[in-house]
Amino acid sequence: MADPVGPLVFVAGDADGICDSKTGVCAVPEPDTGPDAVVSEPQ
Amino acid sequence: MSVQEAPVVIEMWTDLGCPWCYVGKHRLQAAIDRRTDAGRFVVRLRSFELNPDAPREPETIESAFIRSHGGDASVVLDAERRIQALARGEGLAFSLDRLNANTFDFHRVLHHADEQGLGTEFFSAVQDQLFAGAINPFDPVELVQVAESVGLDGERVRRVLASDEYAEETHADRREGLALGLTGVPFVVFDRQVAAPGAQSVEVYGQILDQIVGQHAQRVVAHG
Repeated sequence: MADPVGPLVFVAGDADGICDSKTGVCAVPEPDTGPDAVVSEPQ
Repeated sequence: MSVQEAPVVIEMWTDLGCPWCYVGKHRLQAAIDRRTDAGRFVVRLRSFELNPDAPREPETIESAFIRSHGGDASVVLDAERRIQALARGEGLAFSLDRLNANTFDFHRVLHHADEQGLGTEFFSAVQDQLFAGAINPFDPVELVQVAESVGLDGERVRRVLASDEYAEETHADRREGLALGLTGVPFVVFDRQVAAPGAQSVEVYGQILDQIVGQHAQRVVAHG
């Protein structure tokens, strides 16, 4: 496993979707409104 | 492989049933496959259980959500259909009938597969067939069959499943991801330089690969 070389640079901007590490809820884009927090299954 | 084409390690924290992890992994691979130097990128899949308290008995995706968060099935399935449409638009199978359950044992086997150099192959085979609705990966018999299909020793995998091997490695992956700033999955870390949370587009992944390769080249020049 590689050791961290320095602080990670985080990519700016929204992903199409992500599943939240605390709740397990997956954000789903609303039609025509871009990414937004709606529900999907927990994992 | 020349010095300038030294391996670049890409780590993806992911969970088996996570739809955005599934979409994101295929997009990342597409971005890699577009490159003439695709062979220099090493993808390592790291464990992150989105729902460590999930039951071991499989249930439908809507049942799993309602048990954890309440609500009604129509809301869950509406969201699922939107991801399904997006995934199918990218040529990916996406079954709404796939099963959901605790993924801890799967992740333990993933660590064994990774030790054998087959982590990505194993994970991808299981996840692709899960999202195709083709397997129940929570059935040890079916999981071993997939493991054997990618070249793992079935008897060894059965021993892993019957033990608590790789439990600490699975927990350690979670801790490390959180320490790096993970707030959700997929969470992709490129060469321990750049982090990309969530399912990014193929184009964004491609831009990050360009950036990382450029940084590698600069380090080669700087260090002679």
